[in-house]
Amino acid sequence: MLTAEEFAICCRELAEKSTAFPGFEWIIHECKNRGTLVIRRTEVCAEMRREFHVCYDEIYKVPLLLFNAWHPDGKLFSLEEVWATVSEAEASRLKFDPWTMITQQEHPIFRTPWYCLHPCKTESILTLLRLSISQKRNCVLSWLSVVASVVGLEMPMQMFCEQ
Amino acid sequence: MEDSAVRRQVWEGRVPVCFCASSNEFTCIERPKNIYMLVPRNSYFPLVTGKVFKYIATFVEPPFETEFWLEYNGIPLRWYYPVGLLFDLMKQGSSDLWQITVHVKDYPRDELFACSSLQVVEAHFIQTVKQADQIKHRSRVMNSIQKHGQKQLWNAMVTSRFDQFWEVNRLLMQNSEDEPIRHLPIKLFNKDYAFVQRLWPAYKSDGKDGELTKASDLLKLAGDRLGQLPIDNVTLLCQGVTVPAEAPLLWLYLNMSCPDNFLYVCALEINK
Repeated sequence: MLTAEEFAICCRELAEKSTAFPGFEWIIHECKNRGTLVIRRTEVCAEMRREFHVCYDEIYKVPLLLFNAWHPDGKLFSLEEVWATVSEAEASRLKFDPWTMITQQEHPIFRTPWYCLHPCKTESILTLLRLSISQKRNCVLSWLSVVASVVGLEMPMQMFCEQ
Repeated sequence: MEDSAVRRQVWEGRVPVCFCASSNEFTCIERPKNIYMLVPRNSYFPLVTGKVFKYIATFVEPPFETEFWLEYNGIPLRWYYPVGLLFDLMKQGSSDLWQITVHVKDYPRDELFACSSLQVVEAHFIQTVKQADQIKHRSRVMNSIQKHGQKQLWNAMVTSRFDQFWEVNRLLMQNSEDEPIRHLPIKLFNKDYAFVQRLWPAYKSDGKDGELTKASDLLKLAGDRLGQLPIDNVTLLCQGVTVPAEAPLLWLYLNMSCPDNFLYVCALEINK
């Protein structure tokens, strides 16, 4: 479990660290009257534009990875198109229970539809991470190293190394 | 705290709806007729609009790339919210006929979730029940309910079977020494789709024997998250009923929640 304050500290550290990796920067988006923040990153290539947000889920008290993808003409990817971008390792699990892994959810800040990995398993991931790594590690960054590959979010390896 | 008569009445709530086809999306001379329906408050539009859409589809010319969606006063209706909540939000406490426009093209993907099948609705429903139990019991109860119990919640909701639903839901609503409810799954809405969701405490102070929080505490606890809404000029609406300021939140939650286990409260500004 993660408090909102811990989440904010981890996100600021993560964003600061990412400035050393051009093209992989995370930008902080402050939410004034919510006492919280979101970090976001945008990727653009010939086939699509994608935006990733990491928010704090107040119900499960865990970080939440939200993302959307748009075609070059600005049309939002459908759920089936998003599933097609998921890593092969997760594809078999998708076939078993596709609706519970990646679904649309309202963005906690913007209240618009975004795709997300369901947060109900994140707590067990964080628990395992905390058991296996030093307390000084950034747990949002560690969690991101686990879930980023699921949604095809590239992260430079050096970001996960100790500085 | 439990009041089965109130629960039954909440379950049987209906809103009067008139579905009208959008006037500028049909090229043929004959227009679809309006369809009138009493829609269960605690259901979801995709569960009741199958026949409406099928009828309107007969007026659509090929190619059939139709994506039906509903709109009221220019606002796309979020099908994943309970019907009664949408009614209270859109009609601001009025109870007269709700005239809803049915669109057949230009699905507003940036505002509405896709709804390709009833499985999507079911998945959303179960996910919401899980969120509610995370708030109440840290997911212990929902984790102990087998898959067929979750299926029973959904099936009973779809087929409007009260006793079958509460056979399972009583577990999720238990508030006992073993499974006390400390926080309440409540969404407090403003007049548009903005809502506040936080850990609403069931008691004013720690401990089960403390004083219960009241409906009037909602606005204080919401703080400035609900925007610039003057507290003195606000009335609270829940399941279409004005909520007394002194009503205990725990009682409201246990008896007037939607089947997804959330209590939806609308903060309406009183007209001067």
